[in-house]
Amino acid sequence: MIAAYLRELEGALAFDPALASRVVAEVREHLADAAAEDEIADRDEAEQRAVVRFGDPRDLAAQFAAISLARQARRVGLVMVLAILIVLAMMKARVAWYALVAWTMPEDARAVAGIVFEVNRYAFWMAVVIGIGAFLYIGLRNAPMRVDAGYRRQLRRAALLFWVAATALSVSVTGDLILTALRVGIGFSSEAVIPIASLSIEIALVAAVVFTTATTARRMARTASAFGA
Amino acid sequence: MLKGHLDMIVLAALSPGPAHGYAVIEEIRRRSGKAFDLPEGTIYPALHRLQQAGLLSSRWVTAESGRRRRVYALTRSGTRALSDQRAVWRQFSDAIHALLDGNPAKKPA
Repeated sequence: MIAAYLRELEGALAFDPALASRVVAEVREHLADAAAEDEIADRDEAEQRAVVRFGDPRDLAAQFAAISLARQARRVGLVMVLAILIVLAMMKARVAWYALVAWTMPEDARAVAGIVFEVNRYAFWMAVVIGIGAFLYIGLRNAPMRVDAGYRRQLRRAALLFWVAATALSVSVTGDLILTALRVGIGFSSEAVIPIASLSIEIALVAAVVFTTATTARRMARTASAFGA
Repeated sequence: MLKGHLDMIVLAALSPGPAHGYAVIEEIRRRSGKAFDLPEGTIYPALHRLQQAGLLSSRWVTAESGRRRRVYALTRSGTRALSDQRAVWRQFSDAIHALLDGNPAKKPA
């Protein structure tokens, strides 16, 4: 009886496998305690009563969905903020390196570089403001007891803000790629290792942000519509 | 109505010391004179939610019997939150008492 209940609960919590595993382990112990402390002699009936007292697995899953959604939203926000900080550090490292090796922009590329630099700058600061804003908007909220219409609206808004920030960060890193290409050129030199390495890190971070935002937004939408009011 | 105060009830049940979910339910039943008889499963989302909010911490503990249980404890923020909620509740409760009894409530000090 307990095993069947736990299987049903695990199925209802399938939207978050890590959470499902932890909850099922806790509930297993709880139901074993409850059945053991029941004074009734028949073990099957004791288990049956423990399961009935515990409540409907789908109702429980609906309450855990709100907790899972809050955690996922916070994780996307953290990934976003971390990525922004590391991209900023990479940009600063590249600029410091160029100054150290006295590596200037070629004369014929300066006009294009000026335009790209401006776009890059605005896109980066847009990513900073919107990314951190989205993190504060959703990340500092406590999980509600249930996924109600208001919380679903907040999640949709946060997902939209994360997408705008991810797009702005992608534009900024594309700008970095163009600026680095203009400066480094086609030929490879040992001095180009730092710019290329820092740029590779930025590209990997943007890919991670886009992937995390896309997968989490999809999962959040699915969970919210499955358990939402 | 009880569900609206579940977080405060769980924090209060953990105020004597760390406990696992089943013990929290037992403590709520005992201290409420069996007046609060929630579906037992309700306690776990509350425990997880309070942990996510930083009001509780938890860890797996292996009992002498070899069984593993997740034990929850109030954090410093949790103790502070309980104290705040207790004060608000007392004020609210005094006001309701005064209203029902027809006597004006004493202003909080």
